[in-house]
Amino acid sequence: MEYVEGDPKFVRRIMDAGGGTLKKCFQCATCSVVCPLSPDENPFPRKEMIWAQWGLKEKLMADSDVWLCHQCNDCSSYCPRGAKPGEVLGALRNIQISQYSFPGFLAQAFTTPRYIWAIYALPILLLAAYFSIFGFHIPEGEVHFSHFIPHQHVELAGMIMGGYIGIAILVGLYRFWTAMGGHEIRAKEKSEFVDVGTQVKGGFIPSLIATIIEILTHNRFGKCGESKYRYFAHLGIFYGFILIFIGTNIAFAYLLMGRELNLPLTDPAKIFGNIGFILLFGGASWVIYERVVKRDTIGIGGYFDWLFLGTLWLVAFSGIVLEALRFANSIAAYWIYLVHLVVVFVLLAYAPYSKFAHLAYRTIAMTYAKYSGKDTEKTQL
Amino acid sequence: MSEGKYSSVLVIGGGISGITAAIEAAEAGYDVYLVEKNPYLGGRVAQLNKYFPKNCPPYCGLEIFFKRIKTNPRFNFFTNAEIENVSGSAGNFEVTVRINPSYVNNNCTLCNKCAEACPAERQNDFNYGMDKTKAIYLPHDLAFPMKYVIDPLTCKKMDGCSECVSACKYDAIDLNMQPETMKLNVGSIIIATGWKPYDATKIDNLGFGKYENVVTNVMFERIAANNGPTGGKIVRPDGKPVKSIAFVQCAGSRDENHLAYCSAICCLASMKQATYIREQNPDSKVYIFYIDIRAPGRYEDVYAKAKQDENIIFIKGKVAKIEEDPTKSLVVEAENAVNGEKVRQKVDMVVLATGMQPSLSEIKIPGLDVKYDEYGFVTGTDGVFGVGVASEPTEVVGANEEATAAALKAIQVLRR
Repeated sequence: MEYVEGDPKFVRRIMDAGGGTLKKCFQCATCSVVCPLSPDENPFPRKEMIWAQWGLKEKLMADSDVWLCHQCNDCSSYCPRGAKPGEVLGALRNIQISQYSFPGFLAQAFTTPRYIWAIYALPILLLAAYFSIFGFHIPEGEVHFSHFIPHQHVELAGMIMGGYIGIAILVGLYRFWTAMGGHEIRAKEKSEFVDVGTQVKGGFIPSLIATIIEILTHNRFGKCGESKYRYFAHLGIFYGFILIFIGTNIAFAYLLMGRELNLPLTDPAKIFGNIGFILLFGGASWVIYERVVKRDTIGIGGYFDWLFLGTLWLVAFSGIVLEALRFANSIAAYWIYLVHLVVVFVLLAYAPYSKFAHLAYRTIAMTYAKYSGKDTEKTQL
Repeated sequence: MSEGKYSSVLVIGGGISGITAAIEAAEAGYDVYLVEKNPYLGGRVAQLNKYFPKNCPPYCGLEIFFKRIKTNPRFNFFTNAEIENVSGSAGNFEVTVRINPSYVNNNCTLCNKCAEACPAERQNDFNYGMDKTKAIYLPHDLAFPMKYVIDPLTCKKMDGCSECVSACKYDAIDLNMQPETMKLNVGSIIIATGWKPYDATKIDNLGFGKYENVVTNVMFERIAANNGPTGGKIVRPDGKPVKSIAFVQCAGSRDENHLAYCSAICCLASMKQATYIREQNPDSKVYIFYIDIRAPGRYEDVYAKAKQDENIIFIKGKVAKIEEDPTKSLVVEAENAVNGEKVRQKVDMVVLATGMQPSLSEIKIPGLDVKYDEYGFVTGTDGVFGVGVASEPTEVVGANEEATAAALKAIQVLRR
């Protein structure tokens, strides 16, 4: 007989993190069957729902399956009780991010609206400090952002931020990997399963590569039944980011080559960036619209989701406005530039603690699922 | 009895609850008017193969009622009849009843010559559309009153057809029969309008209406009944034999997207129906997929007995997906919530245990000011009482107890 110890405070935490409906579940298991992504062995989300109701923190914190869920919400729309398993799994993912991210106290600031002022205050203070050192003046004449803040400064700040983000995320991922039991599988791989049973089919690197291909193609998302829009909207946001990233790197290369950056619209860096911003804006707007319209059937999400989604939308929106003002040669462009820098900071610098971290956690959880042999394709009839 | 009050009772609905309430009131010495929409009495119970609690054929019980009805002069009933309007209040209701023509009078001897001559066909709703009758038909083998009727929607009299009239030697058919309305003055009203099976086509993941061999529990009663479309031989709708069968409990029940409540009888009905197939085919296997088996009170015995049969397999997990294979057999899919594994069970036939929806869920009784709950179950008002499944999901025993109690309450209104 296995004894389990429930933690009522953890139940409350899940409910506060966006899983407020979890107690409505009566374990009929409709969710696990209608889910187009749930595997045959240890299917989700029915088991997560009972663990959540009982407050089985350890099991939930080590559960990689919550990341196999892409929140299609077929489960929530077929749920006979309105228990919204899709929302509960989303809340569990948020809790995993705040549980494992480093340093932990920063993560806590993202779980409640209480600290939103601090989140936004930091980049504003940093900008104030910057201007107190380098002086603040709005340049005259044609709009050149580099006359306002030199691009080199922005790039340097970006690189420092990037390094920090990378370290913080890696610490979080290591903690999560340990909790999932990744090390034990590795040990098994080296000892009893050397002959490659189903358990270690492929090993870590091939599992990671397979996962990255899956993410690039979004083919798991594509299996969603209820919320087909999510596939397209997420694809837009995802590739929007990639295109912006490419554009930014081209611009960075120009800087290294010593080129002036007030680029025309026809420049490759601009083309990548602009298409990226349009995709980002379209995708984020679409998600916000669907979330609001379908709040009753599939749920509106929690603070954690909205902080990320809202910031994302603001980044895209301010970016587009900024560029329009630049080409219109309006002085207002500089002010919007400041706003844009603040929201970009909030989006990127806090990525290890916000929902943005899902990119890393999902990647590692999906890798784990393949590595451990849990993520088996659905057997066909 | 005070001045201006009426001393009779109206019962709306002639199923087992309505008949019970009406005959109890009549036998207590009060005039009763029972209005039934169908051309026969007996309601949903008449459509069963066997019914609880003793698993006897429905006419075991119904015939006793019919004998009591025939010998009681205070019991008045109208079949093919509907309530057109109700006005007034407790003690003084005025009721307008419309009696639709059956086009057949009491000369009918059941010789069936009319049906042989009739060129038009209709879906047999008594068998839930699984077979057809002629437009002139006997509602079913044991119909009460035992008389042919014409379905005006499919009859071709408007096209000048009168084949049945020519075929009838007894002058029993009158195609010019007109609807009649009459006024009744009653002191109290008992609503016994019963239920309809939930429309299984609305449950889009269970394949009803899409896959031929997915049927509902009420259809399965007809398939197993001797006077049903297959003469009581349990075969699939496509005619093939049934060696394995899956019962899908809570098909559209306890489900906010469909009927949010438990219909109270479907678990027992499925376990009863499991015995139909197990008795006909000892090699058969039965799979019952459930969320919780609900067998309250003494009905625990039904569950205990079913569990003893090793060929009745209970799986805790709701079927949420059904697929058809090329042989038109079906694969039902569930997660076994006990061991956390997915189950894909191939079976010859699937029975959806659909729930009971009150007949008044959409259509209300015209003019009658009575309260309903959010699902359309009658909660009653002064002088008006809901009984049987019109007021809550229940089985026959519960319905009859409630109906007997309602007869007393209705009488109290007449005497106060």
